[in-house]
Amino acid sequence: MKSKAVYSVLTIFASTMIMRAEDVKSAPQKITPVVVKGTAIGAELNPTSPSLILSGNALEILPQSNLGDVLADLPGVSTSYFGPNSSRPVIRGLEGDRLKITQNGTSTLDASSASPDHAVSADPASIREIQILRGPAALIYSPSILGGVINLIDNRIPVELLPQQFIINSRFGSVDQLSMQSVSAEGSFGSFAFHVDAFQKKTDDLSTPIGVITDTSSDSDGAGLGFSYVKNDSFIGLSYSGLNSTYGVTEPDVKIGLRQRRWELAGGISSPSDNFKSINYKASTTDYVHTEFESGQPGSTFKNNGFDSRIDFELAKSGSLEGLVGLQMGKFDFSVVGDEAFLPDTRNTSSAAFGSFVQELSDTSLRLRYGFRIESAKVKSSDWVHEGVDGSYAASQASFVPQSFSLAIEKAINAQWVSTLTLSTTERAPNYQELFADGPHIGTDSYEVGNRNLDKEKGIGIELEIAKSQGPISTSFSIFYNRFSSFIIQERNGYGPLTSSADYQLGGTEELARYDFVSVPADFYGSEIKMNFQIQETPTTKLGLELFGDYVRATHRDSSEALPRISPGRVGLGLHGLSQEWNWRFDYTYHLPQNHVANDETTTAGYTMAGASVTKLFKLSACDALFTLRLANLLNREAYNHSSFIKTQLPLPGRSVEAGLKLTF
Amino acid sequence: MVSFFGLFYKPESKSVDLAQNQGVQIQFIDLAEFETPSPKSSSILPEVVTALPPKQMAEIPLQAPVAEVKKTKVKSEPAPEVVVKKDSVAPQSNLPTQSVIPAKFTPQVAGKFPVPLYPRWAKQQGIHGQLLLRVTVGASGAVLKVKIEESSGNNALDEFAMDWVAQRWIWPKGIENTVLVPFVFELK
Repeated sequence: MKSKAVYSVLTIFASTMIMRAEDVKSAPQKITPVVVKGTAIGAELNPTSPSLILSGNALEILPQSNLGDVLADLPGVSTSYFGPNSSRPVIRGLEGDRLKITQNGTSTLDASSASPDHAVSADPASIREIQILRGPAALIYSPSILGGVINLIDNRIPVELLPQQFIINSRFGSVDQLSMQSVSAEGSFGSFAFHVDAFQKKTDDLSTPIGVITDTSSDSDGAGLGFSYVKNDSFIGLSYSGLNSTYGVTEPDVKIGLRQRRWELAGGISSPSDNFKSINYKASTTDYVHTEFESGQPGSTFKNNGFDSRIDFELAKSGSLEGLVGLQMGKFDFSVVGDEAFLPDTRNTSSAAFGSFVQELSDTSLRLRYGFRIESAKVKSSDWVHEGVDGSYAASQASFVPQSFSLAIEKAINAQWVSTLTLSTTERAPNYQELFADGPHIGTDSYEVGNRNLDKEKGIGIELEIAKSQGPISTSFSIFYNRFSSFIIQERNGYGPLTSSADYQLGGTEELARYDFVSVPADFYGSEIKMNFQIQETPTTKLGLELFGDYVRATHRDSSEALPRISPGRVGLGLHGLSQEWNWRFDYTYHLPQNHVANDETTTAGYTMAGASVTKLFKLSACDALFTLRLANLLNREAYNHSSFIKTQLPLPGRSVEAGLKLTF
Repeated sequence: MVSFFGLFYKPESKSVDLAQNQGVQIQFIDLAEFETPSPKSSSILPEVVTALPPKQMAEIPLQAPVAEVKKTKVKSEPAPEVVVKKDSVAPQSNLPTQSVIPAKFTPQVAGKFPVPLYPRWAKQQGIHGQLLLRVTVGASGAVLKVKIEESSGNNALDEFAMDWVAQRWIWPKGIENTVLVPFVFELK
């Protein structure tokens, strides 16, 4: 073989060289390279490896108006789109508490899972990395993993000494008159590393193909400050951050004013003993409040105060086994006061033990990943009134022990293809709303009634993924089936009680449609595909064609009726490349129509979306500059998102241009 | 920020001699391509490679005692006709990576040569690359000097590697030494 020949030539040559070196004692020795590998996806898996990481320029090019939009183009992801300001991601048809969103590994305490019009209390402007975890690794954050877990990282607590860096970022958009500015500075003083960031973002009412949608403007600002003491093998850091946002939710004269303050503590030590590769701990306390203003008058106020804490023990590699075990403990108090007090005050506590492992097998083409999470979750309400009757002390609380397990079997079919079979069984404790709601919920125009006797939500999932990551044609294809023996949904049950309060009058009627939380058997199945043909690949010129698509269908198994608000999926083509130092991409996507609808739903037409983006990295005197330009809905199509609660009133944004410039000093 | 890290060695030791860097072309041979040398052709001795003159350096596993070699430049050695492109080799999937390399480096002598974790800031920004350090170790085992022979193109990454070697590597006492330390920061 050629390589062998080269090797022997080198050996002979090297032998003569070393003799010469000894003779003249002249040249320094050169050691074998110190190879430092970044956490890669796929080949270099460890027990906590996300299945997807977005950071740096890859994150910069995405839309930034809310977390849903940032992730919307990823396979399997849709958004809850309650206007441009409140849009949570939905993965494989699962959302809310089924799709855990954490910030730096601990809970983002907010009210976003209680109602679709409530924004997630983390603005993309201060997020530096997004991790999506699936399968066994996701169990370190949540027992409900069939959609995945989203971990947002804001870099506010440095984990190492940092090089000096100063960033100014600006973005402007046409469709909502977006104007966003952010700054951040990082560096180190001796053994201290610091990070400070701030942003301001304003948008006006959203333009759509049918005109401007009023009451969709927003005005947000946020800032964070963190520092760490870093020693050789350890660090400890503290951060404080805040987010203020006032935003419209498409309802006339209604504005939500959100205020969140968060303290975080984090630390870690690597190789504390022979048994551990590292020990990391984190704790955060969050003080969240939002008030819904109607014509400037405060209506309802939602509060969520609590903490979350965790400790992760990364075990030293033992034979072929790598693992991480840990404990998590958190508590939050949730309350609503005012007109929309459809929830009693609740205290929610949970503690969990979890583990995630990767094991190489003697058959080197096989690798196992597995994990577990066992939780104890308690919800205790005070002043719970159900159908006009005060709940007893015993009835006002509920506790659950969700247990989830997941096993992934990876098999290398050959040098290029890998197949992964993932089997999961997951349980989720019903939340305060599903258990104790009882009252008018204006955000969804409904009278919500919880069920104190709900049992855990239980599901099993099976997924097969086949992927090829090397060569000019790379692809990944996955197919999944998630079968819930009990899935908690809201079911229509006539009308809520008549109320005389004028505040409850909506659309001229005092009667609100009543929805009860019930548990039903449900099936979710679907698939995702991504295939890239790299037509040209040199350091300066690239050209590739991507084919992508996803599909999901969700059914109430007993009635064979569809579950509501499931975006069915899409198929698309993307052409991307690099030429003249410009990175560019063009996408043409057909979003499938949804004809498989729930009883009180209407169908949604399919639509095509065309979009394009260009980015260029260049030097602007002493700093690195990144220019991004994004064009969306080029055809200006009138389109509706089936997973939106208010889809009929709110089309997707019209044709838009968004430009950004990021300067790094 | 350079001075913030100057805990264990003098700041002036960080000088980057650009003139020296110019023209030095180091081509790393991916060891994965080579079969493990058989006992006949190799002993258990460390993998030490002589630095070659500019444009002639290559990373070569070979048999040699850890010799005390003083730093003097060899400038007039004939160039071997060996060119191995990094692009042409297979990925290092079969190769043990972390911690193995330093262990191979000086198995007979005490010392610790840990491999760093990839810095988060570099990972997030997609910063990667190769660099070469010249490390001068005194008889006391103290690092006297760390110098960039070849930059990765990113100052912060260069400094990270310099700080790591200067602060985290522990050298044996009694051996004066100058070694060239290649770093490869690899992101996929």
